[in-house]
This record gives sequence, C-alpha cells and structure tokens, in this order.
Amino acid sequence: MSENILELKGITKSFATVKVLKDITFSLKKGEILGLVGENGAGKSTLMNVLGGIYQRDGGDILLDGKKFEPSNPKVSSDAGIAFVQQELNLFTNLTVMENLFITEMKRSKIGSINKKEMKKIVREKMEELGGTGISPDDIIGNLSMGQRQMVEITKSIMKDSRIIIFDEPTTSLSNKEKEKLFEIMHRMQEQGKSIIFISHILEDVFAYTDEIAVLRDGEIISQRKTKGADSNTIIKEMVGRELTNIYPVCEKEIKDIAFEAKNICQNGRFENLNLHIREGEIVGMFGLMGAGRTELLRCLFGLDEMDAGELFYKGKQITPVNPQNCIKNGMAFITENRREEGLLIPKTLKENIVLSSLREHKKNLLFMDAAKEKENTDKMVKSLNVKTFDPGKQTAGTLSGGNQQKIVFAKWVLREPKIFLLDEPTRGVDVGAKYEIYTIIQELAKKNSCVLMVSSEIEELMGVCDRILVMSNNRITGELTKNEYVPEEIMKFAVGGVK
Amino acid sequence: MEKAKKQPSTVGAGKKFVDLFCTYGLYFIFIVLIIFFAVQRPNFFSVSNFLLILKSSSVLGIAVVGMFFVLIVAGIDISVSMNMYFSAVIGATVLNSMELPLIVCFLAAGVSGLLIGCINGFFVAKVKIVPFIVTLATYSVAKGLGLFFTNQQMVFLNSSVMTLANAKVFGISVFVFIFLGIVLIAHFVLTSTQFGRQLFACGNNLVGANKMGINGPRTVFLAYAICGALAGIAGMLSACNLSVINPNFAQGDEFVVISSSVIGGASLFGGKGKVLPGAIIGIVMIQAIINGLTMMGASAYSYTIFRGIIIFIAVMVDSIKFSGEIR
Amino acid sequence: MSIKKSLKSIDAIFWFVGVFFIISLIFVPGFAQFSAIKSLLSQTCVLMVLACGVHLTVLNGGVDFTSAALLALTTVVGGSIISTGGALGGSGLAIFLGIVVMLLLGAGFGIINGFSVVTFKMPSFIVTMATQMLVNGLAVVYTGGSSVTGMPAAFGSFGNGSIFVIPYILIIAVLVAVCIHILLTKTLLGRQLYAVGTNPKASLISGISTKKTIFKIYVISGLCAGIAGVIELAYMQSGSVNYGSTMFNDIMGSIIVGGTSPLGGRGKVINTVMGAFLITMIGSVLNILSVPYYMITLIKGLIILIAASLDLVKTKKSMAQ
Repeated sequence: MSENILELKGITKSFATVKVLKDITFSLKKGEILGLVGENGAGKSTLMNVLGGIYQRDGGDILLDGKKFEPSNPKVSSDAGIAFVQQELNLFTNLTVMENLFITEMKRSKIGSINKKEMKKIVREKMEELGGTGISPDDIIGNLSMGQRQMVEITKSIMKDSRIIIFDEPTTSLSNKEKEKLFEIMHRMQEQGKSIIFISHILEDVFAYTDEIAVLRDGEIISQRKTKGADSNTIIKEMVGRELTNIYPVCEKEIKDIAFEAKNICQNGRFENLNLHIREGEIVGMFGLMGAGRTELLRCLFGLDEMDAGELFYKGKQITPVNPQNCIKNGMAFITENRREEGLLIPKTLKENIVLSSLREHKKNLLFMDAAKEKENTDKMVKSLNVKTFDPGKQTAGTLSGGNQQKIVFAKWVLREPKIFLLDEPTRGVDVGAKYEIYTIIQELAKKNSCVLMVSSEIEELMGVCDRILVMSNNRITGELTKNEYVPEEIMKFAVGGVK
Repeated sequence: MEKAKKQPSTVGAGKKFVDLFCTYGLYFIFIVLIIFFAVQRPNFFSVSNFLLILKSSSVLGIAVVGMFFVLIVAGIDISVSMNMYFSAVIGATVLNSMELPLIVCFLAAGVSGLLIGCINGFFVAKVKIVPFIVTLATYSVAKGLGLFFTNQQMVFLNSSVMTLANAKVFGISVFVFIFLGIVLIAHFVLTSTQFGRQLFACGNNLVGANKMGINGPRTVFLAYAICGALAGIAGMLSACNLSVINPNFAQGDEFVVISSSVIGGASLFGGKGKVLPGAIIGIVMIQAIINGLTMMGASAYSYTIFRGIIIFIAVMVDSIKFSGEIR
Repeated sequence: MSIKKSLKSIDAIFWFVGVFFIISLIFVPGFAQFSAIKSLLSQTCVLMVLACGVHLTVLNGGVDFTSAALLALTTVVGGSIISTGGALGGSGLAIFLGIVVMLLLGAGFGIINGFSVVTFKMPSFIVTMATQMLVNGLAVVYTGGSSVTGMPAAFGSFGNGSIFVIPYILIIAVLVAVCIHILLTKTLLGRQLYAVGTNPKASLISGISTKKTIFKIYVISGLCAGIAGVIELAYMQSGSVNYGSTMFNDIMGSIIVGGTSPLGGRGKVINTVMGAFLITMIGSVLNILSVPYYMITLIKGLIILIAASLDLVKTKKSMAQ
C-alpha cells in the first residue's frame, strides 16, 4: 500500500523571467487519493501540464515506479498510464459517447468499416468499471447533462488502462447528486488500485475523500500530510500564508450612504436571490476561488448574461432594462477579466480604444465626430493614467505591455466618470509597478463618489485596496468582512465553503 | 409583477410556433405546393412524371452528396456549378476526340472535378481563407477554363451517351441507380468510417479536433476534394442527360445544390447531416417544385424567385435552430 | 529619408494602379487615347459605387451579393418609369420619380438583408445570395425578359455628358465614395462599424448596439446599389435584366485587391475605389488586346485568390509582431 507510484523532486519551471514552479516535491502512493489545494495561480495547472508532457520542466526529477520518467510529449504521458480529467470538457456535442471515446483510433472490422459492436462493448465494460453510469454508448453528447458529460470525460481517462488519474477541479459544474456519484467513482478507482490526484478548491470535499493533502503555494509544495488528523485551519493558513509585501496606495476618502443596490438576483441554475449593496465612495472586494460564480455575477449585473429575475438600483432609481447599453447610460462600467478578447480592439489605435465607450459624447454635431475633442480627451487620459506610448493616435493596443493595455481599458471607462464600476481581476497579467498605478486609479474613482465592486483572486490585494470584502463560494455570497476583520485565513475559510 | 408573469407565457407560445415552424415548416410548404400542382395539373401525379422528377434529381443529387461533405465540416462550396461545367467539358472532350469508353470520360470528369476541389481545399484548409471567397474565385476560374476548352461554343456529345441517358432498369433510369449507389457509399463513409466521424468532429469543433489529435486541415481538405470529384461526376452525368453542353450549362445550380442540402438536414454551421435520406429528400423536393412550376407553364425565370425563397427559408430555419443550440 | 518613408506609407493598391496604368499607356495600343480613358472612367463608375456599398458589409466581416443584382431590377423598374414610353412620358417628374423609386428599391432590399442577418443571425453571404435570386427573378418577371429603352434626352445628356474630360456620372460616383469615406472616418456610425467589425464582443461591452450598426450598413449598401442603378441607367440609356449579372466577382475583387480584410474591421474605402479602377482597367486592357472573355473571367478569379492569400500573409505577419 505504501510504495510510491509517482515521485516529484524539486521540479522547477519558468516562463520568460517568471518562475512559476520553484520547488515541487511530493509523492503519490499506489491506490491513494492525493488532494492538491492552493490558491488560483499557485501553479497547479503548470504542474499538471509538466506531468502531462505539454510543458517541459527546467529542472528536477520525476520518478514513476521508482524509475526516472521523461514526459516529453502528451503521448509519452498517456502511454505511461497518466490520464487527465480536465476542467474544460473537450467533447464533440454532435457525436455519440462511443464516437467521442474512440475518435482518433476506432476499431475496424474486416471490411474496413468501424466496428461499432466491439467499441460499444468496450465502452460498456469501461463504464461498468466505473460502477455503471447509466449512459448508453449511443447517446449524443449534446443531449447529456454536464454531469453525464463529465462521466464521459472520466471514461475517456480510463480507456487506456491508466494507473494515475488527475482530476482538475472536476466538481465545478456538477450538481450535488452528480458530485456524490463522482466521488463514488473515484473511490471505486482507488479500490481497483489506481492512484488519483484530486485538485479542488472545496476543502470540505478534499477532507472527506482524500488520503493525503498537499498544499501548493507560489510554485512550492508547502506541506504534504495525511488527511486523517489534519486540521483545516492549518491547511488554510498554509494556502494563504504569505507575507504582505506589496505596498498599497493610501487615500483619504469619505464613505457615504448606500448608492448601488442589486436585489434578488436570480439566474436559472446559478444564482438564487443574491443581494448586495455598495456605498458611495466605497470599494467592495469580492473574493472567491475558481468556479465560485464571481465573473458570472458581474456579467449578470452588467446585462451581458441574462438575468431571470432581480432589480438594480442606483440612488433609489431602478436601472431597467438591464443590458450593457442601458447600464452604461446609467453610469455603470465593466472591466472584464479577458482583456484581449472582450476589452480591447487589439489592432486599433489607443485613441480609438479610449473613446470606444463614449463615442456618442464625442459628436461635434448631428453628423460628425469631434476629432479635436477625441484627441484632447485621449491625451488627457493617457496623461492622467500615465500610459507609456509614443503617439496614442498611431500606436495600436496590441503593441503595448499588459499593464499599459489594462490602463487603456481603464481609460475607456474613467473617461465616462462611471458611478458604478465593476472590475473583474483588474490586475491580472499586469506587472507590479502598473498594479500600484491601477490601485491608485481605483481609489481616485472612489474618492469621486463612485461605487466600486472589485473581483480578485488575490486576497492580499483585496485587503490592501478594499473597504469591505464579500466572499463567494458555489454561487452564493458566503461571507462579508469589514476592514478591521481582515484576516486571510478567515477570508479563505468562507471561500472554501465555510469549514466549521 | 403582473407584467413579469405575463411575459413568459407569450414568449412560450411564440417560441413554440417557431419550434414547430423550424421542424415542419418546410415540409408543410412543400405539401401545400404539391397539392396545388396536383389540383391544377392532374398529370403532375403520374408515374411517368414521378420517374422524370427522380431522374432529374439524380443528376444534381450527386453534387448534393458532395455538398454534404463540405457542409459537415462547416464549409461551403459555391464553385460546384462551374466545376460541373468544367468537368463536363473535359469529359465530353475526351469522349468526342478520343472515342474512349464512357467510363473513362466519367473518370476524366471526376478527376477534373477533384482538381478544382483540391484547389478549394488547399486554400480553405491550408491557407485558411474564408470558404465563400475561395470558392467564389474558383467559380470564375472553373468557368474560364470551361469556356477556354469549348472556345465559348456549344459542345455536342457523341451519340453514344444517348444509350446511357435512355437506359432503364425495371423501367427506372440508370441515373437513379447511379445516384443511389453514390448515396449509399457516402452514407457508409460518413457513418461507418473513422474519417467520416472525424468530418463531423471537425465541423463541430475544429480547434478541439486538432487538440484531440485529429488532423483537421487534412480532413477539411479531403471534404472539399470529395465535393469536387462528385461535382465532376454530376456534371458529366448532366451532360449525358442533355447530350449537349451550352456555355450557360449548370449556371445557378449551386443554389439548387446548397438549398437541397440544407433542406435535407445539413447545416451551414457544420457538424450535421445524414446523406441517407437527407440528400435524396432535399433534391427531390426541390426538383418536384421545379417540375411543378414547369408544368404550370411558369416562366423559367420565376424559378429563380422560388429558388431564392426556398434557400432563404431553409437557411433561416437552420440559423434559428443553431442559435437555440447549446454546445 | 522622409521621402522614402512617405512612399512606403502609400498603400500597395496605388502602386498597382499607377504601374499598370503607365504600362498600359506605353504598351497597349489604343489605350493612350482620350476617348479610351474617358470611357474607362465612365465604366468604372457603376462598379465603384457598388463596391463602396459592399465595402461596408465586408468591413463587418459579411458580404452583400444582392447589390449587383439590384442593378438589373432598379434599371428596369426605374427605366420603365423614366422612359418616354412610360405613363409620365419622360417628363422631369418622371425622372425624379424614377430615381426615387430606384433608391427606395435598393434600400428596401437592404432592409430585408439587414433584418435577416441581425434577427435570425443568418450568414450574410447566403441571405444576400437568396435575395439576389429574388431580385433577379423579379426583374425578369417585371419586364418579361426584354430590356427597357427610350430614355428622355435630358436623362441621356446626364449619362453621357461631361465637364471637360470628367463625365457627370463620375462626379456622382466620386461623390458617393467621398460620402462613404466621410461616413467611415468622421461619423459615429463609421467608428461603430470599425469597432464591431474588429471585435463585436468588446464593442457590445462598450455599449455599442451591434445589431443596429449591422442593420444600418446593409441598408446603406442597398442604397448604394440604387445609386449605381441610376448611373447605369443614365450611362447605358437602357435598363436590362442582364446588367450586373457577372459583376459580383468584380465587386469582391475591387474590395479584396484594395486590401480590405474579408474577416472584417480593416480597410479603407479609397483603396476599394482604386481596386475598382484597377479591375475595370484590367478588363478593358484585356479587351483591347482582344483576350477572349473566358480568360478575363479566369484572370479575375485568380486575382481574388491571390489578393486574399496575400492579405492573410500580411495579417499573420502583423499578428506575429
């Protein structure tokens, strides 16, 4: 029982100058479930990509069955019996379960056609191995629920007699019942002697179903210990236990009355009667781990995704209908987490990007745009947000650094002097210097009586910038902390599903 | 509150109607038209007329089968009609100048079609230009080549083709059997081979397919190549049927082929379609309407209007269905 | 240094046009004549106006096949109203009414196209192909296939008259191009169009109504087709269902040769105008050299393929930067 099937020793990996994995050392025993926990961006996916042969490590050893193992490409890994159940499902919705499982290597019959009978038999056997899934090999993926699709994905992972199966956040899109089924299957695999690495944010699940827990933080494995007898508070402390190194701008501002209110927000299958409010001049942080529903909530508030029920108010006046155009008209602004795809016109100039959301305000008369005003406002924004550019009318957004690109997205909205500012991971992919500047921009806005709602995966940043922090988990707001209550462990507790 | 309650029910009814229309609308229109024709012209519903419809369907039907391959990988081929023309010209030239057996002419036509198909496939799959622009350009190229080989003249085919055009088995034209044979082979390829299933995978999610280890560009390329080859054969068959190739041969047929495919269940958005029976139903429906219009003595040009309306409705239904689909 | 730089900043299409023009002047007999140049300029007009309209839809990543067919419908309908044989006897009112009807017809089909693309999310190329067939069919049904003749003298002098060497119709066409250019660079709609064509998601999040924007450009494209119809009718002095039947390739060729990306978001209307000029020039030079019609068709097809390939290479290069 105790022999190690997989051992990692001192794995390192850098991208350009950023060290993503610093020292990864842990072991996986045969027939064991290892829980791997860590904050967003701790390096989990990079680590898995190294194991899966997608990235090549810079240093360190990987031992499989005690022998050195070189995952030089995905095929080597899968042939060695390492399989992945990805968070994003990679299935063809128009094909059947069987076809999805065999799409690149179908069994042939004598006349050269595909041997459906044999393949179906194999699928049934494999599903039987999982304890019966209730899915027929002939079902079309498009007709299956998310949970059932996940089962297909799991079946895919055991098609090749895998010995090590890595589940990457498998529960994010599953109902409670489907979750139970999933854990049942994991348990079954374990009994069959397979080893499992289970990556999850839900600490409760990790405690309930794993044998050992490893904590990953900033590219290092902080600890690995038996689940039995482990203390959740210690684990949480290890997940967040980072020194506060960054300096945050200090800004004297006054927080006034409640100005923005969202009441009874409902979205089918996701949110149920969510409520939140922001005071004038207040910066509210929103923390949560992957799949907690933060991004979805912001998109819902801005009218990008349909809201089934619920009302938005600003200073007692209802904002309706809730669609981007009307939200903007009512003083809302939204910075998405996906800067390149949803925030910027990459091949267009900075000027075109900055005036994008206020084109109407830059009309000279009924017909023409006011080029002079555009230039004036662009220059004003470039100067006040300190964007580094040689000429905002000529340089394209694509040629800027991440930090400067994000400043352009900010400039687009700051120009409108928004009253309600929704920010989704505003400092993602931004270097330290630019981060400080972005915090300053946010605080300047709050000082001018805007309501700010800022989603972030970095506890530290939220603690440094926000006046109040809301925590989301599993599509609900599970915690609320005011400035004097800020303790990283407390925040994380709410985020991992409120461990008692 | 009342307002909020009321809204879903009206939306529900409207949606139900749209759903109903999407599923049965085209068939309903078809049946109404057929009844109209039958009432107006009693011999529309005769066996001989039905066989005539089948025969004319069979010629273009082969091109429809090819179009299925391209539509399944979420592409489009506008060049089919001119591909038919070019290939028929090549086939006819081989027939008239070398006196080779008819089968060789079909082979020659198929290879010419394949060539155009490969050009399409190369530019779409490898160079990655938008399909309709590529095939629009090859439309001109194929047309130019066809006119070049004929010197802009009519080409009369050797009288030996008449034997094929008039040949019947059990009173049914051999064309129908050729068509059915091709449908069956295509059906087999699409449903029972790995390549066929990969075509569907590529049409559903090309990026995902490449990730899974499917050679996406190659698969897409082959789809266009097959479409080209089948268009070539269809062109030659059509030439045999008419025993003459006009300079405006097959003009406008690309619309008939595309709309038949979409009516037959293929989607412009890819990943969908059953050749059996889709291709047959699609082309027969359209040819029946064209035949009916002819019997009504409608001017040749009013077909264009009908074709336009049909393709519009078919694609509208396809688009509504697609935007309601969850992927 | 600065001369070199400014030369470099001139788009490729201007070089093509310039070089081709000079070569033709020197080597093509009969090209370097006053009348040949003048007729070349007149011939460009219709293509230019059509291409300017379609240019807008291509900027949005779409296309408008209908516009070429509208040439047939508008000329026969407008022609029958304006004609001296018509109910109004070719009076000034008839000319006015005819032009209004032609413009309305164009805009009307633009509305149908725009509505279908926006509401049903239908692919534009197939919608406009369908309406193209509809338009063609209607044109033939309207006339029974014959052409419409007998334009009043006033209308004729407009179509073939000129100030010095510049034909009136060229002035109209240039005016349309200038309007579209101003629309694209100086107005709200133009800016919205470039944004939506580049990145519809980011545009929507920035508060642009993508649907309204797309709808409007199809209407404008239809309107341009109506104007092109007026020019064609005036120039040819007759309306015919055959007008525009092979024009679509030329339209697409002008736009793509002008460097407008079929993927949307990028392209100047001046370049499309130059593209139209180049395509017409190639056509007429090949004609003078008595190259057969089929070769011209073939060459034009190849031009589209090559230009589109070059555009993709260019895009990939700029992405790599």
